Order: sequence, then C-alpha cells, then structure tokens
Amino acid sequence: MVFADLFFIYVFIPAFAILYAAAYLIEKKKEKTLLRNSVLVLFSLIFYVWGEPVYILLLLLGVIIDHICGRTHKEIAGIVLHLLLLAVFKYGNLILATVKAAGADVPEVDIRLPIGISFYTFQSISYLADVRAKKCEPQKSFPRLLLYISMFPQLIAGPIVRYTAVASAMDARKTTENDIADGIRRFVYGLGKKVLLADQLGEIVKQTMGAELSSLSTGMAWLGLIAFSLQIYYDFSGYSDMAIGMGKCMGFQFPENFDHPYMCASVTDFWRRWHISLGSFFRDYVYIPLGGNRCSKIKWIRNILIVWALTGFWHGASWNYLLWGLYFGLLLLLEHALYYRKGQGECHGVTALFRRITGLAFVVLGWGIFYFEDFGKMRRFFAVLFGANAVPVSGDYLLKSTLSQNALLLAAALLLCFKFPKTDRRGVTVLRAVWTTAFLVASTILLVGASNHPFLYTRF
Amino acid sequence: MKWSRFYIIIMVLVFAAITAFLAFGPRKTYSEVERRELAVFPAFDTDSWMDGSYTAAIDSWFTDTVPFRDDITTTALALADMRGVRMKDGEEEISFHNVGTLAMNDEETEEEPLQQAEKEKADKPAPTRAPSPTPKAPASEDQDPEKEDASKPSATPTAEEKSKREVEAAPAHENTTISENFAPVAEDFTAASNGIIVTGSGETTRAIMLYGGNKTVTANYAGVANHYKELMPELNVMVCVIPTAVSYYCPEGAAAYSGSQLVQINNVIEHLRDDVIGINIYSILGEHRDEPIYLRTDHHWAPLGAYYAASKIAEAAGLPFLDISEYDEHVVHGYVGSMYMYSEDIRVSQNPEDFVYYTPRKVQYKTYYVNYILGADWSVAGEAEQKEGPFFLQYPDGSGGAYCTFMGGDAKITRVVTDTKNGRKLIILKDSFGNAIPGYLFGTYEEVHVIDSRYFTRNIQDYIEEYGITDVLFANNAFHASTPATINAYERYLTQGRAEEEVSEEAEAVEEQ
Repeated sequence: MVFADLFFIYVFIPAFAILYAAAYLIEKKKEKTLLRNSVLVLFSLIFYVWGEPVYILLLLLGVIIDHICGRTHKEIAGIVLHLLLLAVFKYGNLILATVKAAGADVPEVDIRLPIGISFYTFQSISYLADVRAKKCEPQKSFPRLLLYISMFPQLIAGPIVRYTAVASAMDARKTTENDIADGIRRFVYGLGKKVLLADQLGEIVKQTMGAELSSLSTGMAWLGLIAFSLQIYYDFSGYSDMAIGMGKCMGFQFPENFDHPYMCASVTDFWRRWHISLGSFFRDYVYIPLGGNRCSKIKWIRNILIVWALTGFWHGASWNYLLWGLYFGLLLLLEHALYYRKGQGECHGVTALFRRITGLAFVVLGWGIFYFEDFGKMRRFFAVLFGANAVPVSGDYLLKSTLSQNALLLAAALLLCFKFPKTDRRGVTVLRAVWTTAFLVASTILLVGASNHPFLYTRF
Repeated sequence: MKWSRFYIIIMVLVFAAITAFLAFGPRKTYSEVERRELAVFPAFDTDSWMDGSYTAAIDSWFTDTVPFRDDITTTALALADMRGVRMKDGEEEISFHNVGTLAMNDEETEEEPLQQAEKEKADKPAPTRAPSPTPKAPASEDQDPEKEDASKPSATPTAEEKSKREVEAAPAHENTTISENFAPVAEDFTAASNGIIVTGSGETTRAIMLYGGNKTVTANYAGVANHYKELMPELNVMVCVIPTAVSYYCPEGAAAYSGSQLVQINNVIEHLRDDVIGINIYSILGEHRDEPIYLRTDHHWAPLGAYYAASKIAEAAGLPFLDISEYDEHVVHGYVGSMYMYSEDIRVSQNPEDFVYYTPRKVQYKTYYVNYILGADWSVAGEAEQKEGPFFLQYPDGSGGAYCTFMGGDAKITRVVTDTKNGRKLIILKDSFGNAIPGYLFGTYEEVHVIDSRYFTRNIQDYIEEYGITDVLFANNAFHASTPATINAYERYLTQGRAEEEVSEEAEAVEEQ
C-alpha cells in the first residue's frame, strides 16, 4: 500500500482513525498507551501485508533478531544478521549478476526487493547500535519493538526514526489539538506535493529523460533534468511530510527529513538539508565510529569516501548509485579543500552566490547519475546535456511548447523550494482550512484520473 | 472555540464526506469517456494473495470504479491542463503530448496509435472490445434479402470463370510514386515517440498522432503483398496505404517531430511488383483536405475520407463506383473520439464534432459475421457461429464509439453479399481504418469480405479459394503499414491452419517455379 492511493487515504486511514480515536478516548484518563499501540501495530501489519504478504515474515524475523540480540547484548551479531539479510534481499541479484559476469557459474535466481527493507533495516541497526552504546535500554516488550520497527507511517520510505526519538512516546504520549491540526495539514500538504507537483513533473521527466536519448535535444535534456530534480524532491519530501503528519496526529514527533535542500549554500550544505535522517544515520553509525575527521587526513578521506559510497549504494542495487555517492564524496572533499578549510566556511556576496550556484548545479547534475541505471544511457544523456544532439532547423519548438505547457507547474515547483515565514495568526486558520481542502480534493481528483504513481523512494 | 479545533472539525468533515462519497456512491462498471470496462472486484485465491496481486487488484478496483468516474477524470484533465499556458504558432495553438524527442533518421519502428496508448495504460484493467451503449441497426438497414442463399459461400469458380476474372481483374496500371506533398513534413524522419499534438481552437481543434515510419518495414509491407501475388497469380492484388491526419494537418512548428508518411507510401509503391497495384489515395485526400475527411477528435479518418479513397480503389480495380449522391447521410452529433483519452487534452473533449457516415440507398446487400471470441489479452480464444447482422450500426448522439458504426469493430470476419453481379469478389485486409471503406464498394463488388490484420485464424489461401475471391486489397493506415506485426500477420495468414504437407508441397512448387 502506498500513501498516494485512494484505498489508503479513504479506507485504511478512516478505519484506523476511528479505532485509534476510540482507543484514545478509552485510555485518555488512564494515561496508558496499550490499546493505542495495539491498534497501531495491528494496522501497521495490515499495511505491510497488503503489499508484501510473504515478506512480512522477513520483517518479523528482523524484529525477533532485534529483540533477542538487544536483550542478550549481542548487538554486533544482530547488526551483522541485518546486514546479511539486506545483502541477500537487496543486493543479491546484483551480486549474482556481477559474479556471473566475472565468468562464474551461478544459478538463475530472481530475488524480489522487499518493500521498505532499507528503511526498517536501518532502524533496527540504529536500535541495536544505540543499545550497545548505552544510549537506551533494550526494549523488553516484543510488541513495543514491533511497534517501533513496523509503525506504518514511516515503515516503507522513512524518515529513519531513531528508537530514542519514539521510545518514551510509545510508553506515554499526549496528543494535543494543535498536534492533530498540524498533522492533518502536514499530511495533506505532503499528498499535494506528491500528486499535484511530483507526479505532474514526472510527465515531463517521462518525455525527456525517459524518451529516446539519441534524438533528445539539449534544451529538453536540461528541462528533464531540472524536472527530475524537482520531482524527486517533492516526491520524497511529500512522503516524509505525510509520515510526519500521521505521526503527529498520534503524538509521535518524527524527525524532519528535509530542510529546503535547493536553498543550499553548497553541496555540503545540500546534504545537511536532504534526507537528513539518512545523513545523520551514516554520520553517527559509520563516519564517527570510523574516526570521523579526528584522524589523519588520509583516514579522513577514506572515511568520507566509505560513507558516501555506502550512501550511494543504499539507494539501490545498481552501480550508478555507487557512482552517485562517490561523486558527492569527492565534491564534499573538494568543497572542504576550497571552502571550509581554515575557517573559510562563512562568506558573503559574490563568493557566496558562486558557491550557491555551482553547488546547486552539481547537485542537479548528480540526479543525472542517479536516474540512469544503464551506464550507456547515462553517457548518452550527459553527452546530450552538453550539446551532442543538434537542434533541427525549425528550432527547439518542442522545448518552447513543453515549457509553456508546464509553465505554471514549473513556476510553482521552483517557488516552493524557497522558505517562507510561518504565521500563526488566527485568520490564517480559515485560509488554511480552505487551502487544505482544495489540495485534498484536487489530489483526490488527480488520483482518480491517473494511473498509480508509486513513491520513488519506496524502491529503496 | 480554539482555532485548531475548528480546523480539525472542518478537515474531519471533509475527509468524512469524501470517504462517504467513495464508499456509498454508485460504482460503475463501464467508462463512457475511456470506452472500457472498469475493473471488477477480484476473486480470491491463494496464489494471487501470496504474490500481492489480489490486494493490488482491490486497490485498482477501488480507484477504477469511483462514483462519477467519467466526470472526475474529465475534471482531472482540466486540472492537469492548468499546468501551463498555451503557446501560439502564428494563429494556431499547438500542444504536444508525450512527444519527448526531435525527429530523427529512419531507425525506429512504429506502432499503431492505439497499440501505443494501450501499452501506456497497461497497468489499467483490460479495456472492452465493444462500445457502449449497444448500438441499434437503422431502419434503413433492413434490406431485402438476396434471393439465393447468401449465408453460404458461392460455388468455387470454374477454371473458365477464373480465367475470365483474371483478365477482368488486371486493368492497365502502372505503379508510380506520388510527387505532390500536402504537408510541411521533413523527409525520411522518425519521431522517437508516438506523440500527439493538439492544434487549433474551438471548432478547429484537432488532435494528431505524430508519425515515425521505417523504410525497411514499409518495404516488407510491399513484400507481403508481392508474396500473395506470387502464390496466387490469378488474384488481383491491390495495396492502398492510408495516410493519417498528420499528412495533411500537421502545423509547420510541429513538422520536425513527425516523419513523412508520403515517403513511406512511396517506398511501398516502389517495392511492389509490376502486377501488384499500388493505389494512390494520398493525392485525392490531399485535394479534399479542406473537407471533413479526417476526424478531429479521433485517430481515424472520417467516412468521407474513406469515400474518396474507395473511388480510387474502384478505379484501380476497373469497376464502377457509386457517387456520394447515391447514399443517405447520417449524423452522430457531439462525437468525441479516442484522441481525448490518448492526448488527455481537455480541449479535445470540449470541442466535439459531427460523425457523418453514409449508407447506400439502392444497393441490396446482406452482411454475415463470424465473430472472434477474445481472451483477456486480446488473443483469439474462439470463433462464434456465422450470423447475419447489419453492416452499419447506429450510435446515439454523444456516443464516443461512433467509429464502430462499420461492422461494430474489428474482431470478426465480415462477408457482405451484394446485388452487384460481376463475378468480382474482394477481400479487404485491414486495420480499423479499413472499416470505413467497404460500405462504398457494395455497388462495385459482388462480395466484399473484411478481415482484420489482428484477428484472422484461418488460412487465407483456403479462404480465397473457398469463396472464389478475385481481388485482395491491403488497406492499412500508415502506422500499421510500418508495423512488423501487421506484415507478420499477413504472412502467417498464408500458412496458418493448413496441413503441413500441403504447405511444404506448395513451397516446393513455388521454388520450382
């Protein structure tokens, strides 16, 4: 089940909301969470089984590993087991294909990727690592651990929620009216980002990056790349907004996953704003344990490259993701050498503008590496970006037409990359209700009219 | 009241209202706009549950059958249309749909527009093969039955008759390529994707499928016609590649994104044997392009275009042809064809047209159908008993299925027995464009048989012999003539359904010759 689906929004959510609200009313005065947690676990399992009737066993196995290894303090063994499962189910096909390409005789096996495995595996690893580091006590209750791992709002596409962030809320949580109002609004805005922006931008991507590259014009290639940069942002951040919104309605505070990434001052700054929960995971559980930057320069470079290779590879079992990660690793090293050494981080005026523009350009170009799993196509696309295909005599009429046909969409998508000041004035509430209703109705209408557009990040 | 409480109440009411609408509103089983059966609630079985297809099918059913789906999808297209502003090319507005790349050289193969659109909607439930509502035969269709028992094939012609027909069926004809060009289309180009452009505004709004084309494939199209002639030398073989709207109405600004159909039509003509007749309908259609010869909202041509084409076919066959004044005119008002859903451009829906067709006034004829029973994947699962029925079906105003006026669709073998007595019997091998042609040939041929390039399961040589066919017309639109599947099907028709020994004997005989 995906969030941008009528069945989820108008069958699953209402059924869940009714039962959860009933549980809340029963438990309100007793300050207990057992009933609410039970409803949440039940619906989380239904949510996962709906899309993965068989791989639910894998998810449950993961929770069993967490439970046993956490309580017996065999955290390293647990982490290794999780990594093994991830290697088999996410990278198994790639490993076999690579071994086969090297000439070895390997059996033909097609391992289907379990939905959300990258996310829930990382949650399990963070839990075991935090227990080992004594940042939290091992959870004695299996159902609560199951709740932490399987909680449906963040189960299949994040954010990667640390156990410490929700442990206390699982035991006792209060949900205020402000939380519910904020949660609903966040959910609907996230849905709008996905359906009204990302899916519409996806149409441009389909007819540019997804088209026959040998005859793509340079202008259309750039338009496609920019559209994809915006699509992936609104798609993923839309999902995160919906997850955070649902969490808020239940009294959970999930971490923010995006902070206006395209307003970044540099590539380094971009990664402080993009998929924050993944970045902080690698920082806390890989980079710092490896020694971070408190070591020799060579080791530090090694640490950076390891972290970014892993970051890239986390996104998919294909070599282009590894290349994408290393591309950013090298850019970060370069930026460090040029910008951040000896306290040169702060800058203003033309220098800051230059960093901003070049940083954003590198980020956008990086999406070209990310998009194409086929290296041949990737090469062709970059050749087109830099002028390989000549525009015919008639001029790039298609580019002009596509731009004008999508002018308002592109303008809105670009504008919403910026940060706007928040206001809590009373009159705004009425306006918000109108806007939220309009977004919800428009998104619902477009969902009826469109074929199913799964979230891009659920692939990972 | 706290503002957040007010907000929660409003939003819960909105959610509840939409939920109630979706839960209790009337769910439909058929979409008039998309012209397809909507998804049905899946039957449970363990396998489909285990592989996730059962729950996925429930999701699809829930979304596909939402109450007032047609109104909502129309609104969705109107919303999607708000993504941008219209660009003008001189006086003309042009919108591109699914056109991502520049026109390039002759590399790609093309598929018929319908096939492409169906591929793109592959994740939707299988569309229906029959339009709805069920059409009725017009009163004027109640023709007097022929005196002889026309439900059975006439006797196999004698050698003398065959010889006579052969002479008659070989009018003086020289295949020459076409020099006129009616569209500002660059030569020998291929659009890399089957895009649609929407041009004009108001009553001039027109959706056009851009064309690719491939010279290797179109040469093979000529080759298969040559093969028919080679195997059945007594047969009068004619080839008529039907241009589509892009040949005549492609605006200059969009021309670079489409290949030239004229180039491919000429390529077919160039590759035909001298004794296979290449019919030029490109020129006559071009001369009449200011008339409604192509539907603006559908990917097909209009019946009037087929009339002009049929006149050239009769001329090529050396046979008489009935003037349009000999026909009764019928109009389906408010017609919006397939291009609305293929382009997903709201302007196409907002500017319906008249679907005008013509039925012969004086010719007496009877129509017999052998309908194919199709499986879920559109493959032929069986053949129904032959039955008589009307050739022209009458659709109500506003019906999107009006192009199915002719025979009601494609998945069938049609045999029309007319009161014309000249011993000439024609098979039209066609796609849906060809459906509009036979109605103009009832005064030209004694029998007209119509066979689709996707649904014939018998052996064509046996069929030709069984019914004493004298003429074969290959009548495919330029897209289908550029599709390997069409050529493969026609080749297959020559050999399928025959005993292996018989086939090998024939092959040997041909080799010896």
